[in-house]
Amino acid sequence: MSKRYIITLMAANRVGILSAVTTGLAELGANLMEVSQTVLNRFFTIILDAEFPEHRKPEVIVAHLKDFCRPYGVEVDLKDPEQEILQEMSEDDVERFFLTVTGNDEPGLIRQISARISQEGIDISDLYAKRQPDLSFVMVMELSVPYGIDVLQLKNDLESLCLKEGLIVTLQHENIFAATNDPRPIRLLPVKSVHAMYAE
Amino acid sequence: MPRTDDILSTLRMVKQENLDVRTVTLGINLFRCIDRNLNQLCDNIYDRITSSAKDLHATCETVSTRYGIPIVNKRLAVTPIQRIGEGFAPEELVEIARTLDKAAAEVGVDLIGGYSALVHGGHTQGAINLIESLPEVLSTTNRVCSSVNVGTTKAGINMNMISLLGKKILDIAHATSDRQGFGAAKLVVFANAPEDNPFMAGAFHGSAGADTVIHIGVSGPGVVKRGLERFLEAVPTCSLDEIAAEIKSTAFRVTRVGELIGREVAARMGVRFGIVDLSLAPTPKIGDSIGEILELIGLKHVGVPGSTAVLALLNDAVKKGGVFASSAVGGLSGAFVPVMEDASLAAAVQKGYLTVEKLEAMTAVCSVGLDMVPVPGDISPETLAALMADEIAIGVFNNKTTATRIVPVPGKKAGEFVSFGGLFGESVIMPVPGNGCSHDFVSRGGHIPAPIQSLRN
Repeated sequence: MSKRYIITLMAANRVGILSAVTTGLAELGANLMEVSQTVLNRFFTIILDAEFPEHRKPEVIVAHLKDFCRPYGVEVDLKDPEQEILQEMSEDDVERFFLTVTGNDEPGLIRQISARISQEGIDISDLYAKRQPDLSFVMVMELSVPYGIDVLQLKNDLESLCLKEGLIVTLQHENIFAATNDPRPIRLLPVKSVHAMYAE
Repeated sequence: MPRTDDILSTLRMVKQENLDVRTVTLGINLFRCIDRNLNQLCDNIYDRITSSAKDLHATCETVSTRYGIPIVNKRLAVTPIQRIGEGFAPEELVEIARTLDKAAAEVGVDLIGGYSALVHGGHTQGAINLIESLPEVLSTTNRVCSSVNVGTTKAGINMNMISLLGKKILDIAHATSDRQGFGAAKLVVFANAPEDNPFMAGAFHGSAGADTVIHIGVSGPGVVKRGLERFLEAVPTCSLDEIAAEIKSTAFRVTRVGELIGREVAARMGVRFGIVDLSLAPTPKIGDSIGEILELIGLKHVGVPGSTAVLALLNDAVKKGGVFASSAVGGLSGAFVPVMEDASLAAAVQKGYLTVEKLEAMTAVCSVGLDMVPVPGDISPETLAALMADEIAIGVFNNKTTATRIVPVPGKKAGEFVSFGGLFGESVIMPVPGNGCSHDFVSRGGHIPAPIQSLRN
């Protein structure tokens, strides 16, 4: 039997850090299920979903990883999915849209947009935001939009919200990015499914 | 999540470089409407169009919102009316045209194509009647567009009909003299007309096509130009083959947008998806011009030596990128050179670099032909016919589509200015050397035989 945990690690980025983390995990008998890693402003962060032998205690996992990665000063946090209230959202119930905002850097912008989006029950599944060297601002949000949401109304609301700040906002279904960047043939849902999904 | 730079580059094409879906065109087969009673025929046509296209506008709006891609025009193309209205007199055919106009207005489309005749192999009385009715139709309807296919590589060229069209185009121009001859801009004379062309004024629904079908016309001179500008900034000394590769890559992305929109509109309407036509169709807007692309590649003006070669490179790269992007590429798919609709071409005409003769040479290697070319109002019908015959011969003898949309401007001479406004643009009127010198040739009439398909040197 095995037990799954979600672990995050963060440290100033240095060569060898990922090797130390994965070696420490191997010593704990971990099997990685999913990993996402990024380096932001020279800081290394990783979030991983791993299976451990059932008898392995959470405090032992955290202590071992901290100890093993001591030269790198890694901060470790662990969550037990069984102890958390997890949001239930099937991939079959949502469509993926991308919200892009460009323009001048406006404090509080992400807060205002995310508040409006959460009103609709839309989950933000990924986010990239960065101030450019010319002080302009680019933000890309990946949204899981439940079927039935009035996309036109949402788009109009977000446009009015951003227009006040002189920002350009665009909301586009993910298919457009696959179509324009991926050489594989375009695949749409079967006609029947499209009709069923959008029948109003 | 797709790469952020991929998301931003797609966004840039739409927001900054004028990428749009130029037209979603619904093709409608009208054969089932045929009736010998004119009133019944018109009722059948009206009902058929309004029921088939009732959801076109709303569906396009929904899909446009979903992908953040503007769909500029929604249009209709119907079975060539010659086939539907055979046996009716010219004044009765005018009634059919008015029915088309009314039906198009009802479903909220700005243009309907298919008031057309196919006469490449010979002409029926119905075709003659349709051509005779054109001055009345194109001067009294708002949305109806017409085309006549006068030649094919398999059948040769019907010079009798070209001769008749020379007269009728002048009649159309005079019937719309209050609009500087604008009626002639709604008539295309074709060689090897494609039956799945979504672009106006030459769209019609091919007789071998499905009951209803969605065709897509995407454009994008602005996207190609900006992509090329960025590439040339990064690699200023790049060679022409590198430029061709860059254009192909952009054409791929633009075509993909069209295919995605087309497939989804068709699926939602429950009709067949036909083709994507990637044509670099310029607009008078600065930055949305074929001429500017040619200048960017290294010509000081359009029309100077090298113009035909550069246009050939551009046209070919566009086709190659499009064909790789979609297995449903059709229509014209290439670069258009409509003089009045492209500010850079119009400027080259004004400065004297681009002449009718050079434009004709350039059309041998690109889409369409002598398109939106304003000529003096006193051009003789025979010279007009001969000018069309030259362009049609280029298509027939080179196994490609060519066409003419020549606009005689009543009361104006070469060098004077004409403006139709909006997307139809403006230009000075192009001189046509040798006006009146082709009379004997055109008057012979008959048929130019189909060209030999071997020994092609």
